[in-house]
Amino acid sequence: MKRNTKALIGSLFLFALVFSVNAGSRTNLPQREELTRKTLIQAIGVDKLSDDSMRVTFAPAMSRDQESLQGSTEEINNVVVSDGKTFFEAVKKAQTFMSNTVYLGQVDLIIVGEEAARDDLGKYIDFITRDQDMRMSLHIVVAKRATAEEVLRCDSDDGATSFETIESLLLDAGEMSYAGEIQLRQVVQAMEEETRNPILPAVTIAKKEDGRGGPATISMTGYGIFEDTKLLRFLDEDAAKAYNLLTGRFENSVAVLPVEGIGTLSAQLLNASVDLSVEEQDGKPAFAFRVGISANITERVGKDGNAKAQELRFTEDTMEQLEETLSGQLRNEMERVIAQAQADGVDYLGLSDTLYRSDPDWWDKIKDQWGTLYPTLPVKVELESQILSFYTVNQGLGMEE
Amino acid sequence: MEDMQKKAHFRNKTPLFDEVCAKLQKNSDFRVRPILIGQRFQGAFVFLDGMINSGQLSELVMRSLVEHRFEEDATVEDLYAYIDSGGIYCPDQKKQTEADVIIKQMLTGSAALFFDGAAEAYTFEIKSTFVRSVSEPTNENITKGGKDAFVERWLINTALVRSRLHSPDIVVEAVTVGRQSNTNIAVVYLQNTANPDLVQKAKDCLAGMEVDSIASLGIVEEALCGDDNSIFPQVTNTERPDSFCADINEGYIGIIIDGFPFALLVPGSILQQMQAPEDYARHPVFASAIRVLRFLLMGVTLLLPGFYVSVLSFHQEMLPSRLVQSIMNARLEVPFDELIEMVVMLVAFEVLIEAGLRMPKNIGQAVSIVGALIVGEAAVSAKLISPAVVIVVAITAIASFTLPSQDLSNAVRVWRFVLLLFSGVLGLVGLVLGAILLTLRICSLEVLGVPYMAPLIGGHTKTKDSYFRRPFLQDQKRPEFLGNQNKTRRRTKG
Repeated sequence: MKRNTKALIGSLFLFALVFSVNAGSRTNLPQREELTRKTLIQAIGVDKLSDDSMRVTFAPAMSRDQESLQGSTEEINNVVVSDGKTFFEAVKKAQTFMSNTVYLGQVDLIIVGEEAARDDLGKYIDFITRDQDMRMSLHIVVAKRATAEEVLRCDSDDGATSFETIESLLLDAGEMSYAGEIQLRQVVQAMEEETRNPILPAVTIAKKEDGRGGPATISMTGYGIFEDTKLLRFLDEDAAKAYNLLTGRFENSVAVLPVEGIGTLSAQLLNASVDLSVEEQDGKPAFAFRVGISANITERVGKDGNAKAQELRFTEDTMEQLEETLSGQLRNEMERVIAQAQADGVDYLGLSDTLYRSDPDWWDKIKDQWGTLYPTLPVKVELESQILSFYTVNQGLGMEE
Repeated sequence: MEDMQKKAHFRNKTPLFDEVCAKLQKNSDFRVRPILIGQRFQGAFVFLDGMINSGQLSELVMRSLVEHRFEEDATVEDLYAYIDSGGIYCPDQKKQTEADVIIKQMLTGSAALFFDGAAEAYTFEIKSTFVRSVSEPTNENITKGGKDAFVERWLINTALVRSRLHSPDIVVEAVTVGRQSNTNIAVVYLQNTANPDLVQKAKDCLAGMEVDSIASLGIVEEALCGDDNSIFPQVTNTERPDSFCADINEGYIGIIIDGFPFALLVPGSILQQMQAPEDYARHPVFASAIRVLRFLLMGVTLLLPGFYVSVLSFHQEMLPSRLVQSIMNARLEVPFDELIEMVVMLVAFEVLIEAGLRMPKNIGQAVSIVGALIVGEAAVSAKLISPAVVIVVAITAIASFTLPSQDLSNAVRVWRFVLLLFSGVLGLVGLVLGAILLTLRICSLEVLGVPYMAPLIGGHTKTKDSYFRRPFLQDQKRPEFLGNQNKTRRRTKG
């Protein structure tokens, strides 16, 4: 028999063996699964129940075939709720009243209810990170003053699902830098590293305040700060903006500047940069944030309340005054966040991480005392702001000499 | 037999003539034409009607024999001397003594002249001129390039080659192959350039062919491939004399076979199969971009069906949510799973190709319309297949049409099914496993001792004409992997 014939027969035998063994589901090799026999889940909400058990809320992808969901006794508004002592049990229980297989490979969003987050984020994340189908790039948020189930059930004015609304909010989070998107892999990484703590964007259900009633809406509202894996506090929107500036996550925002003699100006903030350095000071590490930011003056409201932007002529003094006002405003916010972080004793600004990366030996020496050292460390903020453009018709390219 | 011999009017016994007549007597096109040479010698022309040019026979050969005046005492030796001294207006004449050789010559367009009682005969090559004229290539059309293509006659083809390469170094060595067909096969190469080992190996392969006839090019191709009958084409074929000459100039060995309007080039390589003649008529940057695109499309046509089935059946998490939802909606009422669906569609595509090839040209388009539009549209509407599969198969098909070599395209078609089956069983793991097997297979191939993947493997890093084509002025070396005697294509002046 020729060598090629032997090789061909050998290959066919090998293929037949692998095929037959795999078809019998006796291996750890991937198994074929029919797509149409699955219910694709877009978002999962996890909540802690009073008896310490867990509630998992599934938001399936909208499709023409939602018959599988009709059998659920707790199915309301395309949401399936299942309780269990563990995440896995809740998923398996859901399987008992859904005709299709629950498929978590398409989950793009996990919402952790506030109670669950305060209990222990790690407990809820563990199953998710073990499941091989789940994407590590999925977004994860924490619900503020709400359960994940409430958030997922929340209707919107434009007919979008909660999942779509939150995805959209995350996408646009950089417009005001009130929050930012966090992926599962970042959370897992923060939980694994001893020098870091997880931080999640926070969503809340905002009631309509215009007196006309109507459905509540979901809004993005800062960050949830975790100490190890337990939710410690929420950062409000201004603090979240400062946090983004300090951690290099800032994209765009708006600052409203009351300037004496000019009126109230609106500035578009952009092009932020930050450099965190550490040096020894009295035997202790001293940190310095050097933040740079650019701004464009986009609007002026005159002292009398009328817009008179055309009448204003920007001079060098005006520029300096504006830049100082802007720097002062932002620096105050940043110092407030730093002070709060030190008071909480939680290093979510990455100070220990910076120290570890810049001088690992030093970090090894002081890491045991870090908990007591951290609140007393000197942290300085140096901010340099620059006005780039005034956007005025008669003074577009420069200021009056 | 008796009638034929009577026509020859031979008074004496002529065994050579009798033997030839005995072997060919059953043929209706067998002709014996008696002739009285110089009013003195009785002779007879024997030929196969249609194989020779009868005008040339009468005007050039017979007239010079009939009208010549011999001395009164002239003998047969004087007649032989007259013919040998060039008295006949025929460029190719041979004296023969064996009936088999005479018959062989007659079968290739010669007329044999026998003399009364003589043990020798003469053959005159006056082939019939039923030859197709040189026309435009049908498969390898290019916008900027020669408009001539090889024809069925090997000598015309060698002339086409010589008309492009006026080099004394070019060698055309003919071998006759086929017990019944006696087909002339010419081995063409540049004697001071080509690797002599390769030339010898090619000649040995051809000489070792024990076949009755050369019914198709595939027989010669298989002989050149040796025992390794890989589906990947290891011999390049072309119908363009300019491409052929360009490769001969690079050091490849050319094979021209009588009866086929194609020429072969060995050793074939996958890169050679991926290069189109047009590449060398285009700007190097554009040609390189198109080449890279061609490689990408080969990957697409090879892997896309398997990738689709893998992802849809095993790794749905890889797809964007909206895409998977859209595919899922389209598949809801389709009764078959992805693998069956894809196999059926690919087989249907192969059927369409095969039907299109077999159908006459004027109704060939109807096959496409019926197959692609009516059946395809109806199958989607009837929810027998999903639109996504139709799109995947269409992309696969279009990508396969960009491959310059039809033989390579056929190989890719077969491996596409293999990879699809691997993917259907093991998902992406299977696809990668299949791709590894494919890579190992083509990397282990050798043609006449030259790696099929050369110059990509074997350390031939200096080659400047592979994925990209450098400008000619920068590409001074012939392909290193051919082991040419003359490695330099062009020298820089000064």
